[in-house]
Amino acid sequence: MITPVPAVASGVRRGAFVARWLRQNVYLVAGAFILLSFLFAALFGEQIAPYGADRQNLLKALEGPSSAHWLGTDPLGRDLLSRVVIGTRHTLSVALISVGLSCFLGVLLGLISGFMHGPLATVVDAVVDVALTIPNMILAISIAAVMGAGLTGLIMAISISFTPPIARIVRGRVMEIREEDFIAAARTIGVRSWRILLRHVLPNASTVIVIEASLQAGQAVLTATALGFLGLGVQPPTPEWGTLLGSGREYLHVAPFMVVAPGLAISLMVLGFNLLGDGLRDWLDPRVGN
Amino acid sequence: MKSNHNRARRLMLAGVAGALVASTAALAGPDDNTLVYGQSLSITDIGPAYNAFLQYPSGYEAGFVLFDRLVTFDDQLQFNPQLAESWAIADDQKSVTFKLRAGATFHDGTPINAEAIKFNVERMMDPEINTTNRPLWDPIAGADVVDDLTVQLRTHEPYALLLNTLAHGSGAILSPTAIMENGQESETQSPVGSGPYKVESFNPGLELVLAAHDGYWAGKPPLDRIIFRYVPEAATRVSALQSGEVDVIDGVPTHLIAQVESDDGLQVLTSPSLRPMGLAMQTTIAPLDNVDVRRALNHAIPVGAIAEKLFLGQAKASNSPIAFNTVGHHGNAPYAYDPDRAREMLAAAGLTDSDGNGLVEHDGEDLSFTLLVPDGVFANDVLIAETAAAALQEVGVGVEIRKIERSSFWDTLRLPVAEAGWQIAMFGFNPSNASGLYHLDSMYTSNPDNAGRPAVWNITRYANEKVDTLLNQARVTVDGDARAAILAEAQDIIWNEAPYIWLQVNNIISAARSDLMGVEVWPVIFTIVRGGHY
Repeated sequence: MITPVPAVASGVRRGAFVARWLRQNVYLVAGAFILLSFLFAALFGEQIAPYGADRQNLLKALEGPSSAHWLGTDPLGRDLLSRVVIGTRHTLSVALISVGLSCFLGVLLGLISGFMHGPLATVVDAVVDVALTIPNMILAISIAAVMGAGLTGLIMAISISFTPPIARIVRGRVMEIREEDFIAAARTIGVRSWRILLRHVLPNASTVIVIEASLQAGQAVLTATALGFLGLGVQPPTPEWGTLLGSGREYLHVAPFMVVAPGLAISLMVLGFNLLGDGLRDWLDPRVGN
Repeated sequence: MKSNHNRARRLMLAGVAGALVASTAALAGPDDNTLVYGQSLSITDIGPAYNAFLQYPSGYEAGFVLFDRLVTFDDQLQFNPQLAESWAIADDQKSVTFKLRAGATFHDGTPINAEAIKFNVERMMDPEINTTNRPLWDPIAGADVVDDLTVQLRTHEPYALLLNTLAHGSGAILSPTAIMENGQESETQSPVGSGPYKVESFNPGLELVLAAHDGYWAGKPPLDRIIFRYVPEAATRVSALQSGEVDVIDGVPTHLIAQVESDDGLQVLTSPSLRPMGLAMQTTIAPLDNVDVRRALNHAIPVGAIAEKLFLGQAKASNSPIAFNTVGHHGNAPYAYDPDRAREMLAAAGLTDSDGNGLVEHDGEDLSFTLLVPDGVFANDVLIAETAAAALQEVGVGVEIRKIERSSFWDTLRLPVAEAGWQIAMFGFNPSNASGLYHLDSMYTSNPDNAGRPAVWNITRYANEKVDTLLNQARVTVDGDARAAILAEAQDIIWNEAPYIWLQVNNIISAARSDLMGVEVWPVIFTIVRGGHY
């Protein structure tokens, strides 16, 4: 006997499925929520901030948090909340652009050294090996110091220093895929190498790349703000978070609230990226069992 | 398992971001009879020639301990004898005879006699060796040995500021024996001096350790050691002083004075400075070649508010190209802060905002300048630059701030016009011999080659024949009042032609342990630890 399933039941079943998915992917959801909020601030910073980022008022310098200035003011009387909100754009775009660049470079190098045989692959491998021995932060600081303070220098520094780890991860994955039967099959029917790379290897490595990129983005935020903190970031009066944190350091005794706003923002954004990366891994990577 | 572990680790990284606040590890404290001076700038060269005591003023501060000069200043900038016991000016005012102290020796045992003085004076007269400080030494014609302890210095013309030159840091007397043996340039890293303390070890850019010179003519110095240590962060310097890691610090920011004052074990040492700050404008570049434009920009900056609010009253708006306490100062009517007037003056000079984007146009393009500023060389430097940028923006002049690293700042200031990359730069000249004439001469005498590197510190490429004539005249005028009158006229012209956006003269603020005596803060922005004792 066939009992028709009532429409309501299907809705309930779908609801239950969504609820279960959300429960299983709580990290992913939380990370995405945090990052979407930051994305919103980055896009509409000027509209949602209560004051202009560079609106000075020396009469209200170094005021603690109040109803007019929720997170207090800096030595030039600028509203810290507004500076942090508007500054989201700089930090987020530095992180995304530099991770994008380092992924592009890293994937390219990883594909070459993982898939090809021959002198080119050996050289790429050796270069990546050497670059991996230099700590990420030291490499970034050196590059930024040579390039001078500025957005281009900052992005270059992070992109270059983040490329080797990505190249290494992609290489490993590519070497695994290279041995798969379907690659051998493709070869037998005479598919060209570059086509195999683009159509068969890259799509199969994409999960690893996406997860790694999201985790690297968190690191990129930390590196960018650390460089800004050290005075190697953007030029004043750009309200970049690391620079804000750095300028608050001198006022730690008299105005500790100056470091709270940028410090919280940096922590939250890094948290967002890390949650997203972990969530993506749980969701996409078949090797991580739920 | 592994995944969870990694997750925990990475989530912790997020927390680390919040804890990025710097702290330097406390170093071992000094023993009792050592003075540690935490300086805001590092020392890289210690000698009067070549680069002359880099960086500025940290190198000079070490020079004043390491070397004796013929005469010295006190903290009121009065002359006192040092290696010279007495001196007599000739009737024609073109030579001075110095009687030297008997029994003084260099750190290497060489006696300090008339020959040694002649050797040092002639070295500083040589433009190949003494590459900076030229205005101080160019008027000197030569030195003659009269007898072992008597030396006569000749000048081309009557030179009223001879004693100022000799008391200046570049008047340091070095051992001729050491220079002959080790080479002319040995002085920048391992000089053999004549002062109460000698070099024990030198780690350029980090630390200079001086030890007592037991054979000093005035007797064994009170301290065993004086250590100059580079502590770049202001807040770290104050903490280091409070924790006893250092005994003296310079560059106390105004917002931390209260913290030092509230500590019973510490004292604040201040002095009004002789260094008027300003924003140098390249006067050969349009539209900054127009006096009216430069004057208009002077009306756009709230200097009073900067002095009052950023410096919490530890500064005063300038009223002359030279500071209030400099010899020869003559006050003018200040440029009132009046943005409307600035806009009107810019409009009258043909700079108007015709497309309504908030910036005035010059030659059909939005007017925008690059403002060069160092990070931490001058008190509140970056904050003042940000204030000035916002204030200029307010009257329609765009400003892009270019903050550069402190060690490359001085050289970037003096680049040829075409390479400089800035049109406006923050700068303040410190007349370290306390003379207004030296100050005006260094900054406003026209350059021989205006497009190249400035001869001295005329980085604005200011050129006015009348000013050149007046300064030449002042140089040979020995009578103090007559010279002051000439300098006053020059100051009026320069003030009104405004090669600078004139800013503030701020106090020099140092601090020390309260049981430390004898440390002086000179208006020529030096903190002098030479006489320090507990």
